[in-house]
Amino acid sequence: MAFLYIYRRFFIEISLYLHYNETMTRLAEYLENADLKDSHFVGTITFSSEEKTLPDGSKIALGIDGGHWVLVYQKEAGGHFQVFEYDQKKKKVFIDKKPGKQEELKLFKKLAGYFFSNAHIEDLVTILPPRP
Amino acid sequence: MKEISSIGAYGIVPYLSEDLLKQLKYSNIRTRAGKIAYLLTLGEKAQKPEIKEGVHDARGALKWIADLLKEEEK
Repeated sequence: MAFLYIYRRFFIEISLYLHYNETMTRLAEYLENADLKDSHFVGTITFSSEEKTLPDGSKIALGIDGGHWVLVYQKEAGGHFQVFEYDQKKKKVFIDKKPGKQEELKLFKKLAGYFFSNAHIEDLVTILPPRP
Repeated sequence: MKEISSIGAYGIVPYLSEDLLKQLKYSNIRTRAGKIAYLLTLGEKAQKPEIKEGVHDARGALKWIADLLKEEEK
């Protein structure tokens, strides 16, 4: 009896997980249909709550001020944050305020790419500064 | 850009103190990563923000960034 209950529960959980993934839109997919490009936007993209994460359990927030991008990365809940600041014009990256080299630049791009490929737009919010 | 020199109370961010995060009172930003990113992006200009569900307002910027990152990888 207990086995049947566990089996049924497992089946329900798997079905809900699959349904959740089918109905959610990944950020990269959403952007495929976007036809405008905005290089002057100011704001921050982040998860809507602390419970939301990327599939590997990490969290990323992306601050944008034109060509100045701030990527905040937390590998796991409760872990420390790494702050990547990227100057798009100069193509230079800083990690926790220290200049990064090619390796850090690669890591920044890898994390940003992972965020774009795996974050669901339904889990995200846009933080906008107050309008004057 | 706002210069922040103190060590975080929980060692969360080397140059962003927990006290400062509390003082900023961005209570409508629900994630710590979001608060840090918002503060560091806007610096002195960071005031209590407006929060919008989804990424509709940022889609042009995100498209621009995604395309640039793809191009740079080539």
